[in-house]
Amino acid sequence: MTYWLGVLVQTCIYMIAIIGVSILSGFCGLFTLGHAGFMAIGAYTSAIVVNTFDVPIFVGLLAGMLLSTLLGLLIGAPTLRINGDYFIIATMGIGEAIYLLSQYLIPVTGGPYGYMDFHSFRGMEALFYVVPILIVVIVVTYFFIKSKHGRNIVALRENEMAALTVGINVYRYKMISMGYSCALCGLAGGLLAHYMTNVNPAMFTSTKSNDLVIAVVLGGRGSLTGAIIAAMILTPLPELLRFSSAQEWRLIMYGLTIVLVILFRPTGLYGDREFSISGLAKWIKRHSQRLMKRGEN
Amino acid sequence: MKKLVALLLVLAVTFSFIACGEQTETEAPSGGTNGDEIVVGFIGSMTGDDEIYGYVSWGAITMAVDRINEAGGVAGRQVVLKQYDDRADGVEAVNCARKAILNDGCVAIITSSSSAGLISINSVLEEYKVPCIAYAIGSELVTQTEEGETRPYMFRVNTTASQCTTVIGQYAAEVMGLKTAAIFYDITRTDGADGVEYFTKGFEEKGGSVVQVEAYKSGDVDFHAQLSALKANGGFEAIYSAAKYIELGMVINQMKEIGLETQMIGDRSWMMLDLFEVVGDNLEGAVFPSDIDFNDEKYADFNNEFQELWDVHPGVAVGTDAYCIQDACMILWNAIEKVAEAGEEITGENIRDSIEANSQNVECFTDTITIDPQTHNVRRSMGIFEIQNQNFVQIDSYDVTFG
Amino acid sequence: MVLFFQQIINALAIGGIYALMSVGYALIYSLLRFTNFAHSVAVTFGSYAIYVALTHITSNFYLGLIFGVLVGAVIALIIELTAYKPLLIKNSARSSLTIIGLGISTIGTNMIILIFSSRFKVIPTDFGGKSIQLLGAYISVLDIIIIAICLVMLLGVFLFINKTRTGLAIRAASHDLDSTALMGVDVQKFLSIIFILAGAMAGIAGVMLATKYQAYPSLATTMTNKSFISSVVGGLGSLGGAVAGSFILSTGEVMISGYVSSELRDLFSYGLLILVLLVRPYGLMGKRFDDKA
Repeated sequence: MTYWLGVLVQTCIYMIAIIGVSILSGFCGLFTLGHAGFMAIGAYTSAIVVNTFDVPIFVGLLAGMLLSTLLGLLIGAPTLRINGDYFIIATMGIGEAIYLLSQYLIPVTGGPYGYMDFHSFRGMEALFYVVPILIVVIVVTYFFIKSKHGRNIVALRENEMAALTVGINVYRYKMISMGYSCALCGLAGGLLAHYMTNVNPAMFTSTKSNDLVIAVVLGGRGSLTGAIIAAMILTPLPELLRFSSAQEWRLIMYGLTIVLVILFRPTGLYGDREFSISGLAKWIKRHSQRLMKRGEN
Repeated sequence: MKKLVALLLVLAVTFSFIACGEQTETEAPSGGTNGDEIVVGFIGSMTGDDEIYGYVSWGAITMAVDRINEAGGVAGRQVVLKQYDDRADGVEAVNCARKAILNDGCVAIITSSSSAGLISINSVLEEYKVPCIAYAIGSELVTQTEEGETRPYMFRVNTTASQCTTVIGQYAAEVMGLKTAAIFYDITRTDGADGVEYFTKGFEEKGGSVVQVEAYKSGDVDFHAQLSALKANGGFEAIYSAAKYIELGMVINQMKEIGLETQMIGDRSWMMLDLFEVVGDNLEGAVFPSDIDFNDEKYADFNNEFQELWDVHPGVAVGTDAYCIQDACMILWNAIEKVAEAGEEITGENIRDSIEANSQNVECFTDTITIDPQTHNVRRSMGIFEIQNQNFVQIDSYDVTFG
Repeated sequence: MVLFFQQIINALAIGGIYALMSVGYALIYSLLRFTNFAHSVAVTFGSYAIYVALTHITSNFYLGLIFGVLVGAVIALIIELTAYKPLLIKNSARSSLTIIGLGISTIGTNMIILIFSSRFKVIPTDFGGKSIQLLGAYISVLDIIIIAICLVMLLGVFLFINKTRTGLAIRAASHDLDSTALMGVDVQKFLSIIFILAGAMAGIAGVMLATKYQAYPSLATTMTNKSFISSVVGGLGSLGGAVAGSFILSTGEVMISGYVSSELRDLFSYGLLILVLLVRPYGLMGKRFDDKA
């Protein structure tokens, strides 16, 4: 598989994870600094299940998703009851704890060597898994956010107290968001494992968790399109910038962009709007009218 | 209006990047030579925390390539070197390998960023049939799978952990006469776990016993707790530690702070120039193994040349990289020459076969090297060194013929 | 027994540094209700300030320390004025403040790497491993200085908060920022004071960390994570809790590492964090910050 197709596969994989984090942090407003940990769980589980039980990759991916979701809900249950700042620190702790466990549980995870030599994608196979799965994820997520549930989640982000008073079960929706985001991250992790042909702890550090959140913030809190665009730009970016000190400058640019975005456009690039054909048509009409008016004067 | 501008900017930037990418793509990824050139890829950490390693290795490999090109090239062809930055990240390493092979047509790769990286790129190497020579990683799993099968496209010119660490373990028991030892290792690094396994093996083979094992993590700064525990239990005559670089300095200083004094045994990473900057004279009498001694007379010219070109002594950071990478190059030149001599096309696959079959007693930069066709590991000599007056003094040598 | 005493000493020294950082962080949290991720920037700048001071300006450690304090305070102030103040004026969501802090932290760390390279920098002092012996345990001279300075600073902050008028204003504001403003307190000015104070403490912590270990870019980030945990254990928003939490954390780490298994040490820290969040989320002395319906 050529180099650029490889980049495409990676972009799709991270896009799935970013969409997941977007639901939790963007739509629900609960920032997380540890979701790379859930990717790790999905990755290790899928690899181990496929290797130990000799099942198709598909099954491994599902197992990864399941375990990731369960763990996320387990952690969410107590921490989502209290205010968001505790939750952020809790997710930070979870991410670190998962990283440490993956180093420590050598008989299970292979420790610093990682887990390797398991049945993985060969050649173009990755593409046939990743792209359809991504499309399914996008479609499902789209319908989810357009539905009543999606609107409720946004409502609770805006004003939790008000949402409670109109009868929205805030806690339940927080749990749903958490579960959904962990599921997607677990799925992405599993796909990554089979694409990379090995899983090791260094793939899921707190830096990676930060990258996910940065993408969501930049893309737009509360926008699926925003998350997609952010993934499309930010994932291949390190690939394209390969000169010395590029890494530091790139990170400084990210930091600076976040600062500027929060100061001047806190809702991110796409805000809470989605791309739509009618929206585009309206926008064209509006601007052409404006141009015509100017022409007259 | 603002949003439109933002969106257009974004799209423009994305498309321009992709356009750049397309352009590189069209430059014939033939997976072979471009007629008169041999393209070799170097993957290293050129940015980030491990930047200095990549810098030194790159410096050395460019010098090696320049040298061979001036002498007429390999099999009459000029060698073209391409650099890829993997930031010591396994995921990046795979991308680099793909880029090297598919976009730039590399017929061989030389790298040693991290064992995880090397293991990751193995599948890429096998898919596109391009060999890779590692020059600085010790873990077994780079050339062997967990089941013990040799990875066909991976070779190595430096001693493995099982070779190097077992030797020092044996030396400690047999020659130094130590009966008991403790180990202090990094749980997050592959050479940490390797160190425990192979030092114990070598040490116990010759009659010693490991009485205590303490661990730390990369990124830790405070070792007082573990060191105090070591001190309280006592019962060992030496501590073996593969701590390197930053951590080593802190470990040694903290040992001094809590009054823990004992014979120190190290690993090959201690052959580094700035060791004394961090430990001062607190490591006197320490013993460690190393494939080479960069203060050796025969490297003097190289060291000076390197210093002039790259502004830094090649023994800095990981002292042996700059030297071992030249060995890797020379094994590669040798293999390619043999392919040309046999009248075959210079492709990755043929080079691989040649490395396996023809790397017997090749005169390399640091030593006469043989690569075992079965295991793809190296047969070479290595030395045991002692630190005296902030100098590395060779006190013994071994010929590594096993593993 | 000697080992136990030695480990206690170890715990005190590390705990002191955690405490310096957590109190600064808790101070900001108790007033403004957000997690200041940019805190680690002040610590990092403090570490490099002492390096610069001792290699280029002076050879007196204490002058270097003062330089570090100043740098820490100034950095914190700059961050407050450019990033936090505009958001606080707009009454932005707390999550915005948190994220902007993350952005600043990223900028800060990478700027340091660009300027100083990511290799460690050894701080040239003559403490190098000198220890005194007390009841069989070794205490390094540097640790004694660290513990002393931490105690002095913490005492100073507590006196300031509890015995001065400005301190009174701070305590009032931590209950209700708006009412305090109504009472005629210049809220803008003393927000800056808070950040200067937190920054100064971060600066000291940075100096101590660099001298005790070495200066390198990610040192502060690892350490500030520990200070977050300390704060949560002690109760977010409580200064006394931050201190208590710091020592609980450091003692636990040291004991687990020394007596149980050094591999498990960090798992203990994060396990403790999760346990506290599950069982007693408000920590030991935390205050509840619920909206009033």
